[in-house]
Amino acid sequence: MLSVEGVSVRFAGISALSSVSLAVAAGERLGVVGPNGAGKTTLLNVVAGLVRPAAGAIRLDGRPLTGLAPDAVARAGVARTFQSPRLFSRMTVEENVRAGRSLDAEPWLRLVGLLPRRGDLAAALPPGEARRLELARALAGAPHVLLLDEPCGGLSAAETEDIAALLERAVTPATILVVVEHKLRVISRFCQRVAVLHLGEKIFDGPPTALRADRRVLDAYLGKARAS
Amino acid sequence: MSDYAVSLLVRIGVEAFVALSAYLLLVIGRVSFGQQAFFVIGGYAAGIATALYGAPLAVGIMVGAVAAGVAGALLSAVMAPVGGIYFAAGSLAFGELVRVALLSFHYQVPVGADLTGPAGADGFRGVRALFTGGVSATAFMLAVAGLVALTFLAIALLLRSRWGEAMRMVGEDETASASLGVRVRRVAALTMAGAGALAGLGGGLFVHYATYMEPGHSDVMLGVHSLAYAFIGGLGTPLGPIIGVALDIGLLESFRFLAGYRMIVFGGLVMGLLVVRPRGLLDEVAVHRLSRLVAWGRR
Amino acid sequence: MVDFLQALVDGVMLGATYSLLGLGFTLIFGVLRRLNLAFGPTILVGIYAGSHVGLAWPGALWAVVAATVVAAILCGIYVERCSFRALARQAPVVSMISTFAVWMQLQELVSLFEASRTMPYPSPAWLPALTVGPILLRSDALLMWSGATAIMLALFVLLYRTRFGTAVRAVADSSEAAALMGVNVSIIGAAAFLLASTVGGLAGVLIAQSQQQVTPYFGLWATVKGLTAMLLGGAGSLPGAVAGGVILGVVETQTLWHFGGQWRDLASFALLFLVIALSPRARSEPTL
Repeated sequence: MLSVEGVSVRFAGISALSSVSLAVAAGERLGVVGPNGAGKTTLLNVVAGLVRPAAGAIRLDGRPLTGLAPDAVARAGVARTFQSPRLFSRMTVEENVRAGRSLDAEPWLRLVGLLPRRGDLAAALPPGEARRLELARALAGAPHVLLLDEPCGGLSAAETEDIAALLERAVTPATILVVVEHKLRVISRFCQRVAVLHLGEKIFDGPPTALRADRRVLDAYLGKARAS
Repeated sequence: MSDYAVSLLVRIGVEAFVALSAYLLLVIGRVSFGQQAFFVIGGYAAGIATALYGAPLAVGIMVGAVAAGVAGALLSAVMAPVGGIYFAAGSLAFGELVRVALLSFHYQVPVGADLTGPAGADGFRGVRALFTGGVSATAFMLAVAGLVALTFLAIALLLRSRWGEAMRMVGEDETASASLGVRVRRVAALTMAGAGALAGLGGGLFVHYATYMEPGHSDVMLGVHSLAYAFIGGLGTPLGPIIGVALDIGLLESFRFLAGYRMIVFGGLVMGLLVVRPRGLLDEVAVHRLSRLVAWGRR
Repeated sequence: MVDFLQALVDGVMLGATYSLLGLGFTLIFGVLRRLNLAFGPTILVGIYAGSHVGLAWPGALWAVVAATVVAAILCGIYVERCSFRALARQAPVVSMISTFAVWMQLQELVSLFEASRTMPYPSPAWLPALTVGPILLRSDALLMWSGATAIMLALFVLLYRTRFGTAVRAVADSSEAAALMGVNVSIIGAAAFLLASTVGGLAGVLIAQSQQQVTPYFGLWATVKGLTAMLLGGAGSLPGAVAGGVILGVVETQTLWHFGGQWRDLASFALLFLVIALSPRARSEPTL
C-alpha cells in the first residue's frame, strides 16, 4: 500500500501541491491526470524523493518514505520513468537496463523487444525505442511501486498501443502502478482508478467511467481542454 | 636507450597518473582543476617516508598514494555533493590552498649529518632512495611503464564492472542514477579518493626520480594539462588520457623548433579539438565502433 | 582598534577592484551561463601591453591606460570567438575547458615578449595621500577605490537605466524569454563579453598602478579574485558581486594585518573553498 497523506509542496512560495492524499493498494493501477501545471510530475517527484514536501507524509506499506534521499527511495522498491526519457546515452542498451545493479538484462530486453539492439549505444535509439528501454530499466529492478511519467508522451498511436500492451504483460499483480498521463484515453485503457489534479489540488478520485459525469472535472480539465 | 629518452618516458609515465586521476573524475562528470594538489601530497608523503624514516622505495611510494587517497576522501566530505562549475572552482581553490600551505610547511628531521625534509618555499630536497637503492634509471622507467599499464588495465576493468557502470551513470545524469538506487555521493566520494591516490602515486614516483619536490609542483597548469590530456585522447577509454600525455610530451616537446611556442600550439590544439570532437579523439562513440570492429574481426 | 579600522579601510579600497573583477565575471556568466576562466589572463596581457607602452613613452599615462584596455578587449574577443561562439552548442563545461586552453596561450604569449618576469607599471605620482584622523589613505589605494567606484556607477547606470542594459539583464534572467521578446541573444552575449573585457581592462589598470609592477602570476590571481567575488555574491547577481569583492578585500587585509602575508592568500583561497562548500546552489547537477 502506497499512501500519500496530506502532502503539500511549495516552490518559491507558490503552491504546487496542496494537501493531496491518495492511497494505492498492491495490484492497483492509478492514473493521474490534469492539465499542464496541475502538479502531476511534482506528485511523482515527491514520492520518488526528488522534492521534499512542505507538509504531509508518504508511506510504503507503513514505512515512511518522506525525507529519504532519491536513491534510498529507489532501493525501497520505487522505480520511475521520466517525462522525457532520461537514458544514459553514452552507455549501451544492455548497460542501461542493468544500470549498475546485479541483474540479468536479457529477459527485460526481450520483453520490450530490444534484444537485437542490446549492444548499441542508447543515444542511437529513436524515441519509441527509448521509451521502451526506459520502461525496461524501471521494470528490471522488479519494483514494488512503478511511477510512470507520461509513458506514451510524443509517441504515435501504434507506439502508444505497444506500450499499453507491454504494461499489461509486464506489471505483476503485486505491483503498485501510478501513471501520469496527459491523455485520458490512455488512462482509461488500463487504470481502474483515476485521480484528477487541478492547480495542485485533487478534485476527483474514482473510476474512469465516473470521470465524465463529474462537474468539477468538466469545468477544470475538460472545459479548459475544449476551450483550447 | 639515451638518458633523454628515458627521462622523457618517465615524465610521460608520471604525468599519465595525474591525467588518469583527472580522467576518473571526468567519468563521474566532475571537472577538477586541482589534481596537482594530490600529486604533491603524494610526493611529499612518499619522500617523508623514504628520506626521513628510511622506508623502502616501494613502501614509500605506497605511503604517498595512500596519503593522497585519504586527502581525496577528506576533500570529498565537502565536494562530493558539488557539481558543475562549482566543483571546478572548488578544486581550483583546493589546489591553490595546498600550494600556498606548502610554502610554509616545514618538517625537517636530522638524517645523518644534514637536516632533511620539506622546507617551505625551498621545497623538499634530498629524496635519494632511488639512488641509494641502486635502481638504474632504465629499470625505474620500466617499473613506471609497468605501473601505468597495470593502472590502465585496472581502470578499464573497473569501468566495465557494475561499479564502473554506476560511475558512468553518475557522470551522465545524477538524478536518473539516484532514481535507480545508485548512491551518488558514495560513488563520488570513492572516486575522489581513488583519483587522489592515483595522482599521489604519480607524485611518489616523481619525487624519487627527481630527488626533490617543491610547492611549485602544485601549479594549476599541471592540473589543467592533465584535464586537457583526457580531452585530447578521449573520454571513452582510459587509454585516452595516456595518448594525450604521449602526444603532448612525446611529440610537441621533442620538436625543438616549438620551444617557446609549445603552450600556444598545445592550447590551440586543445581549443580546436574541443570544437571538432568535444569529448576527445577516442570518445564513447569511437570506442564503441572500434570494439564492434574488433568483435567482427574475431568472428 | 585603529589597526582594525585601518585594515578595514584598506580592505574596502582593495575590495573595490575585486568587485570590478567580480562584475566582469558576472557579466559573462550571467548572460552566457558559462565560466570564462581566461578572464584574468586577458587582463594580464592588457597590463603587459600597458607596461611596454609605459616603458617606451614614459609619462604618457593615457597611452598606458589605452593600451591596457585595448589589449584586454582584443584578448576578450579572441576568447569569445574560440571558447564561446565556436562551442555554443556544446555543454557549458566544454567552454570552461577551452578558456583554460586560451589561458595557456596567453600566458605563453606574455612570456614570449618578456626577458624579465616582473614588469614595472607606471602610476601617477602626483596624487597626494590623505590622512583622516589616525587612518592613512594611500594615494594609489584612493585612486583604486575612486576609480573602481566611478566605473561601477557608470556600469550600473548602463545596465539599469538604458535599453541595452535592460536587454542584458533580460537575457541573464532567461535567454529563452528574452529571445521571445525580440532580444538578439547572441549579439547581447557578445556585447556583454566586450563590456566585461572593458571593465576587466580598467580594473587591471587600477590594480597594476597600485602594485606598480606585474608578474605572469597575475592571470591566475585575477581569475581567482573575480571568481571568488562572483560566487560570494551568489553567482549571477551584479550587486552581489560588488559586495562579494568588498568582503574578499576586507578578509584579505584583516588576515594580512593580524597574521601576515602568507596567510593572506591562504585566507582568500579558503574563503572561495568555503563559499562553494556552503552554497546550496553548488549542489546542483554537473553539466558535463
